[in-house]
Amino acid sequence: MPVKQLPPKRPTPEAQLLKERLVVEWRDSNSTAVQPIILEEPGAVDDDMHVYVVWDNWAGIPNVERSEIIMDAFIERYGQEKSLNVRVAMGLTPGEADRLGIPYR
Amino acid sequence: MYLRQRLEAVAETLRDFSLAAEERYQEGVELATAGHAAAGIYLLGYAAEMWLKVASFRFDGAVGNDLISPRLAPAKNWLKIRAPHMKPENFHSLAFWVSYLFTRRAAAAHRLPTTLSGELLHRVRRIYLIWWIEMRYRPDQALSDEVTRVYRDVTWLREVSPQLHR
Repeated sequence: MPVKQLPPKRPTPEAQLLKERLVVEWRDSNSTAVQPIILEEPGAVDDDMHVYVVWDNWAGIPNVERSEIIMDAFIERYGQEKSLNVRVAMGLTPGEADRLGIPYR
Repeated sequence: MYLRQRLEAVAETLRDFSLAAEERYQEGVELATAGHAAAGIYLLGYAAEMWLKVASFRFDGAVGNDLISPRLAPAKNWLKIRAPHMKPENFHSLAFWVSYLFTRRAAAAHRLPTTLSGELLHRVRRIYLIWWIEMRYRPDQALSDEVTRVYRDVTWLREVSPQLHR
């Protein structure tokens, strides 16, 4: 009987698209796009970082999946080593960001 | 508005986890003492999972009102590099969380005292051999010795949990 290795579980096509869009915006410091808005905040300790992404496109996507998409995009943008400093990766719609008082405007 | 809508309207915080851990623990003890072995173990294991998460994120600097969910993917990313053999099991694995806590503390050169870390590892591994999230899909086959063991180990974890993030 032939034995086949299954590839690792891949993100959904929607998650993949969001990640790619996020990477493009992250790399383009001259972007004029209104969203996504990416905020990088120093954490409480040493090199720790908190990353917030405010984006209408998060609507309907569970919080943990948003966080995983942000981490995947972060790794593509900055590399694996720097990603070890991220303690919080949070995706919010503008309404959610307003309610939590995230200063993105 | 129904319970699910009410709860999902607000993301869970570290404080929620601490309170829920205590509630699940008390409920687990009641069920176990009433003879509902699998249900008791199930809730006691959940409490253990939450105490380990709370300790891990408190050590990372999180406080009561901080949200849990944005910290899960960064934790997974961290351990994927530091201990790639550890599978998060949808963020429910006790082995994953104790390993996360240990590697985070080691990286900060702030390891737990040897006696505490040795016993923590020993007890969490023992709970891990009995409890896992998927057990809810199985009929009750738990042995009385397993209920007792989980009860003792989770009770110990409850007692030391305030020390795990310091």
